[in-house]
Amino acid sequence: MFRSLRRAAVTLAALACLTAPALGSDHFQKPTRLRAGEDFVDTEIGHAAPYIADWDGDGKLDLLVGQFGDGKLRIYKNTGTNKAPEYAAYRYFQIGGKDVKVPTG
Amino acid sequence: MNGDGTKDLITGHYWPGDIFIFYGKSGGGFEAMQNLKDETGRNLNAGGVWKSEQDPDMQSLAAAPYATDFDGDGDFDMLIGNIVGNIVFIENIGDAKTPKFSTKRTQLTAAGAKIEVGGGDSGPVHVDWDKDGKRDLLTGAGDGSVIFFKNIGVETAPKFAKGIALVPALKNQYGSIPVGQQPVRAASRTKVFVVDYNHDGRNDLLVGDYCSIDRPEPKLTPEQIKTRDALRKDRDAVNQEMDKFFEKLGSGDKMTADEEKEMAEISERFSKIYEELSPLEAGTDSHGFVWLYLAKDGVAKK
Repeated sequence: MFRSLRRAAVTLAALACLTAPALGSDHFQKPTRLRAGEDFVDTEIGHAAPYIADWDGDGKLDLLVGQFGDGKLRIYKNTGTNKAPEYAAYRYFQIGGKDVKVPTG
Repeated sequence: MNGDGTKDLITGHYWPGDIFIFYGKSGGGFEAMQNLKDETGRNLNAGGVWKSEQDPDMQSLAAAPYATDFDGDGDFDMLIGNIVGNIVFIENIGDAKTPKFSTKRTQLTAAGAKIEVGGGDSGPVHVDWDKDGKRDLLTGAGDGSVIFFKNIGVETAPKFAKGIALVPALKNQYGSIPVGQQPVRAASRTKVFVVDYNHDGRNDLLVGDYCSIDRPEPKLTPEQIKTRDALRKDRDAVNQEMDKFFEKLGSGDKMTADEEKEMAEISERFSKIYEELSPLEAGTDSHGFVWLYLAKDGVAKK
């Protein structure tokens, strides 16, 4: 993996960028970070990739967050309501009692 | 993906950027991860066939897939973001029960130009952001922006207008946060999800990020300073070892099993030293926060 990452870092630095025009309106409120209990939702080695779905079929929308660390998926159960979600501590997505890991490469 | 009524889960990964699926089981739970394949049986990804392990097709790296019926023919097609920042469309030429992905890759365009977001690392979602009845395209980017491409075509044959930044790009490259400060917005490598989070009739954004926050020099006891200095020596030694290993490896195509083992062994030692050393010195920690961008009350609901 180290070789891949080194290689990619070199190539990435050489890539061109595109700039898009700004929205120019104040569409959003001040952004806030989601929390689970007192703690921020904060994934290992970053690269958080959020998704909202009723994971456990209890009628309430839960928060799923992919992370870079070990290629694991966090499941934050919604213990509040759909209108005012609150999240419990996460657990990792498992199959057969084991954390699922998607290899980096 | 296979029309069996259960929800499946798809994911990409970094290298070589294959697309994987976890098929949902009828009694709940998921089957083990497997590669999605293209019509020729090759592992599905956004790139072409690599010339060698050392010469990747950048199109396939850091794959961020999104399964969606893009062309309105009733089955799940694939939109894939990559390290370059493009969005690659791969048509499902099978049907809703038996997916079959084309070998043809189409670069999505906006206002006539190939989409390539700032700093690479695109991750598309295909949703009706402006609620005009046609699904649009949104993506995060390496530069921390979230770009909205309005669908100015029709629902089943989308055509996208020039991108508009819903979240502006970062001013500093990785959105790094100095010691003692807290982030106030999504940092780099944003991944976006559209949802009416507060159920007020307006679309909101969830934005995941990669955020590095600097950690100050800790106050250490003389004993801890000794430990730190010893660990630093160990770290430098392993670093040198790693450099030698890569030198020896040269540009060979594939690592042998022994080389793989050696690299894993060095990496493990490096990680262990790093873990013990980090709390004893200043440095930078990686975080991945999820930011909620709620639409203001004044925004039209449509």
